[in-house]
Amino acid sequence: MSGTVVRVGRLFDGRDGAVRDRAELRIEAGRVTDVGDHGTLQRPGDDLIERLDATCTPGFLDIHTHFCYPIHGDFQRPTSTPGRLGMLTQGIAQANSWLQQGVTAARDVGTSFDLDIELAELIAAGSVAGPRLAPAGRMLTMTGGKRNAFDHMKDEVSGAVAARRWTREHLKRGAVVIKLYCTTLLEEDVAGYLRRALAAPEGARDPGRWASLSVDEIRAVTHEAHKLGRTVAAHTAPAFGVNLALRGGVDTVEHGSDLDDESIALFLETGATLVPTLSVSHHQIAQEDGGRADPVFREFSLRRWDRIQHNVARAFDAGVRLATGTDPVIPGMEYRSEIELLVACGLSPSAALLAATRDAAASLGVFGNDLGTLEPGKHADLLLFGADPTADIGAIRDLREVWQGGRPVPQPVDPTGVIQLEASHA
Amino acid sequence: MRKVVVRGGRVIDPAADAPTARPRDLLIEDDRITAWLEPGEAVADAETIDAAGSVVVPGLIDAHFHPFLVDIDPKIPRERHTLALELHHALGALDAWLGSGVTTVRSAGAHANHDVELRALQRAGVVRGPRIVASGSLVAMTSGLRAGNEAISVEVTGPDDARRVARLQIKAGVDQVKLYTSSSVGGGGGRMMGPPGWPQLDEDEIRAVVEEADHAGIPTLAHATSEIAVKQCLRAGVHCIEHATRLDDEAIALLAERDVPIVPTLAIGWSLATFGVERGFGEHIARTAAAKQAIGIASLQRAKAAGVRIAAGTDADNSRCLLREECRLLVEDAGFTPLEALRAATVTAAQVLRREGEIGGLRPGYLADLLLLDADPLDDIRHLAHVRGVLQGGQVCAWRKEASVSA
Repeated sequence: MSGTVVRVGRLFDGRDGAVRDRAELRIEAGRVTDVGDHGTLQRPGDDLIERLDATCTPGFLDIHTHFCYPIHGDFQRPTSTPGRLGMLTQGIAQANSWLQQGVTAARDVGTSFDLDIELAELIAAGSVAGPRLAPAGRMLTMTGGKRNAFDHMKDEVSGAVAARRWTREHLKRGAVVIKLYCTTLLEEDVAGYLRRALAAPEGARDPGRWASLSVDEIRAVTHEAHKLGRTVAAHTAPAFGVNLALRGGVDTVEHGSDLDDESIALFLETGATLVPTLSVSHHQIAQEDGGRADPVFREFSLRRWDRIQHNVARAFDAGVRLATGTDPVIPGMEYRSEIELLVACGLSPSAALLAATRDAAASLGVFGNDLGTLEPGKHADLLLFGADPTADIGAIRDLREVWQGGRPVPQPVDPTGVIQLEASHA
Repeated sequence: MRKVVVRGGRVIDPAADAPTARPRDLLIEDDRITAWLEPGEAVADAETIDAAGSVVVPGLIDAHFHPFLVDIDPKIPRERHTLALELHHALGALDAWLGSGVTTVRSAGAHANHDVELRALQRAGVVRGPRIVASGSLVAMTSGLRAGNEAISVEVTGPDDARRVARLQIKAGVDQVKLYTSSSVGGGGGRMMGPPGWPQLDEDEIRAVVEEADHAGIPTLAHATSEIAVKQCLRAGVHCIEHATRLDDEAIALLAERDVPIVPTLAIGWSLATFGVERGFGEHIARTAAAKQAIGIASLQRAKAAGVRIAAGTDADNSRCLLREECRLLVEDAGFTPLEALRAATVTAAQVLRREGEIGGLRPGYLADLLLLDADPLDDIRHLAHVRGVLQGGQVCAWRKEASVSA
C-alpha cells in the first residue's frame, strides 16, 4: 500500500518535548508508520510532501469545549423547541473553526440534549469537518445542582447506586467521557458571597453555601466509566470539592481556581490532570468592562485570575499533569490563547505544547490512545508552522497547514457564503 | 444604500400579460428591484452584475417542500435519525434548492416545528437557503399517519382539539397551517388500512382549523388526495389543496368556483417511479407511484381546463427531484406551455404563499430574487437546468464561474 512522506524542517513529535531537525514522517491509511531523518522513509509509490521551512507538531487537543453551547442568546427564542437547531448549527461552525485552528481532537464536556453525541457521530462519519470528538452529552450533578428548570445540560442524582445507574445509561447513550458538575453554589445573594470570599483570609475555607457530589457518588461514576476505558471530568470550584473529586477517582479536574496543599498531593497520588481553562477566565476579565453595577464581580474575577495563574505554576512545579482546555462559552474566544496563557503562567513553550498534545491525550483514556504524539501507529494528525514554536510560542499564530488522518483538512465551509455552481451541459 | 445593476440580460417577467425575454437592465437597491432600465442606462454609484448572454427569470418558488425529508437514506430507520443528521441533510437540501434557482420554499411540514426554527436561523444570517415559509407540524387525525411518520404531525380528535392545536401552532409562529386530510396510499396508524385516499380529518375538524387560521390572517393548506377529502376541505374553506390526485367533476367545479389553487406535486411521483427502487422503496411502491401519477395528471389536466390555478411544488425526498423537474413534468407530461409552467413556479406559487407583489415577478417593488439562465426557458423548459447564477434579496448566493459546456 502506498503512503505519503511528509518531510519537514523541524519536528516536535510530542514524546518528550524535544525538537529534531531534518525529520520526516511516513503516513499510510491515515496513520503514522515511521518517523526518521530526511530521505530515509520513502518507499516506491509514496507521495512526497516537502515542507522544509516548516516545524511540524502533533495536532492540538482542546479537552474542555462546549461546541453546541448557545452562546448567541437569540437562538433560544421561545419556540416549541428550545433552540436545538441553533445549538447544532453553532456546534458545526465551532467544530469547523477549531479544526482550522489546529485542534484535531477535542473533548466536549457537556451539552444539552446530548447534541454533542450527535455532532461527534457526524464528524466521525466525515459529514462535518471538525476535531475527532469525545462527547460527554449531559452532565451529572447532585440533587439541587440544576440552575433552573430549563437547565437541560444536567441530570440530578442522590446516592451512589443512582449515580451508577445513571452512568450505565449515559454510556449507552453514547457518552465517551462523563462530566460531573461536582459543586454548585447555592447563594441567592451572589455579590454578598463574593464580598465574603474576598474578605476571607488566605488559605481559609471558602465561605460559600455549596452543594457537592459525595465521594461515594463520584467513585460510583468513575468505576463504571473506567471499566470501559472511558474517563471522567470534574467541574469543581472550591478546594474541598477538588479534593472530593480526586478522592473519587476523576481523571481531570476542570478550572482549578482554588487548590490547597492536599489537592496537589492528591493530583500526584492519583495521576489526575488539571485543565485550568485559562482562556475563559482571561477572556472574562478582558471582556468585563464594569458593565455590571456591582464592582465586586470584576474584583472577584481579577482575584480568581491571579489565583488560577498561581495554581497553574504551583501545580506544574510540583509535577501535576496539565492539559489545554478553553471552555469556549463566550463569543470571540479562540484555542491558541490557551497555549499562550500557559506560557504566561511560567511554562516553557515545549511544556505548554506537551499540555496541548501528549498530556491532553493521556487524560482521555482509550479515546486518547492514538492521539497526542507523532509516532508509529498514531493518527497522522499534524500541524505545520512557519517557525518553531518551541523557540518562540508566537509561532503558533503562524499555522500554515492542518492535517487530520493523513490528509490536509479542507478549506473552511461558510454556511452563508456563495454556492459555487458546477458547469452545466447545454 | 447598496445599488446594483444587473446588466446585459434578457429579462422575463412572468407576471406580465405576454412575457418574452426582453433586453433590459434591472436596478436593485438593497434587497429590492427599484427600476427597469434601458440596456446600458447609467446609474451613479452602482455595482454591476454581468448578465450578458443570460436570460433572467424570477427566483423560483417551491410551493411544497419538506426541508427535513430530503436525501435521508430511506434504509436508515427513523429511530436512528439524530437531529444533527437531519439538520445536516436539511442544510444540504436547502443548498441544492438554492443553487438550482429556488429562492423561496413553502415548507409543507416539519416535525417539532423545526422549519420554524430553521427560518429563525435564516433570519439571524446563520444559515443560507431558500427563504422558508413554515407550516411546522401537520394537524392530523388521531391514528392517521403510518408508523414512523407520525412525528411530523400533531394528532387531534374533534373540532375543539383541532382548534386548540391550530392555536398552538399559530402561537409557535407558523406562516400557514397544514392539514393532513386523507391517506395517500391507504395506510393509517397501526393496523388501519383503507382504500387509497380514504378521508381522515372530518369537515368539522378542518373547519375549526381554518377559522383559527383566518383569525390570524394566515392561510391553510391541506394534503388531500381523493375526491371526498378535497370536497370536505373546500367546503370547510381550506385555502390550497396539495396533491389533488383524484378529482371528480364536483371537486373541480368547487375548486374553480372558490378559486382555490392546487399543488399537484408531480415531481415526487416521477421520482418514486424513477428512483424508488434504487432508493430502497421496493418495486411495488415504484409501480404504485407510476399508476397514481397517471391519475394525478388526468385530474390536473381537467382542473386546468376548468380554470383552476396551479402552483408548482415538488414534495421532494431527494435532491434530484428539483423544482425544475416539476416544471419539466408539467410541460412534458401534463401539456403545459413553458410559460404556464414558469408561472406555476413563480406567479401562482407567490399567490399561494400570499406573497404576490413581492416575489415571483421581476418588476419594481419586488424582492430582488433572480435566476440567471444560459438560455430561454420559454423556448424549452429544460433550460431551467442551465443556471449561471442566483440572487436572493439582492445578494449573489450562487454563481458559476466557468462557461457552459456544449456537448
